[in-house]
Amino acid sequence: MTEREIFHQRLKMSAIWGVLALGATYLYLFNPAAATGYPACPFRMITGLQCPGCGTLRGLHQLLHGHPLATFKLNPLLLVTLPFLIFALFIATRSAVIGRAEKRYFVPANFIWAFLGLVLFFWIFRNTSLYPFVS
Amino acid sequence: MSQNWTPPPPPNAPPATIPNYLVFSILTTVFCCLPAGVVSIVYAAQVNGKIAAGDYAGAQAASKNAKLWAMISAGVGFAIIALYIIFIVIMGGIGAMSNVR
Repeated sequence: MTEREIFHQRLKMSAIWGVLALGATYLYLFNPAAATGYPACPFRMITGLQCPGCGTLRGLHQLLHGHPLATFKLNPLLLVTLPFLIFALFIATRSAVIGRAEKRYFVPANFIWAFLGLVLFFWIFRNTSLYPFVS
Repeated sequence: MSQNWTPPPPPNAPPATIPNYLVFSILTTVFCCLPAGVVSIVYAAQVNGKIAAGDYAGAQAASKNAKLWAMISAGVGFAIIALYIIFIVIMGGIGAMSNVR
């Protein structure tokens, strides 16, 4: 990495961590399930159906308060993807700190196809009457 | 015998990095905005599938589409939310004015 690239990476990660800290504080203090001050899901607003992302903000609020079970009920997909995203954040942060290019991991295409299948299944399933949770 | 000739890279050497924007596509699908992010996941899978198959030009094209669709998902999602907020503010304003008489 050149000096310039290292600087960019550090600037980018500082911005991301800043947004995360502010967002987490706001999300911890104000429950999206009760409070106003949060945007509605555009897909749900227009179609009345739930999308794979519905319940994410409410779920994160519950997670910040130490209630993973409530998070699972609001959006199970969130708990599935969160470890992957935290890992990606860790790699990017590490790269910024030590000033080396991000270590790249190759995700086999089949894993991504399987994940896509899971997302589509969840999208349909959560809109049926068989889905056990209300969110 | 000195050899001051370096062999050219093999024609099908993998480009150092072809991003698949998987993180971006997951963020737009699960954390935000619009489910158009799922299209982005399709292209992310294509990128890695094509890299594995040695089709680097195809992977490059799929990479572009993965980015494009994640941006569409985020952009349109934020646009709808912004319009919604403007709508609420205008309706609130009309409501407040009609109460004055």
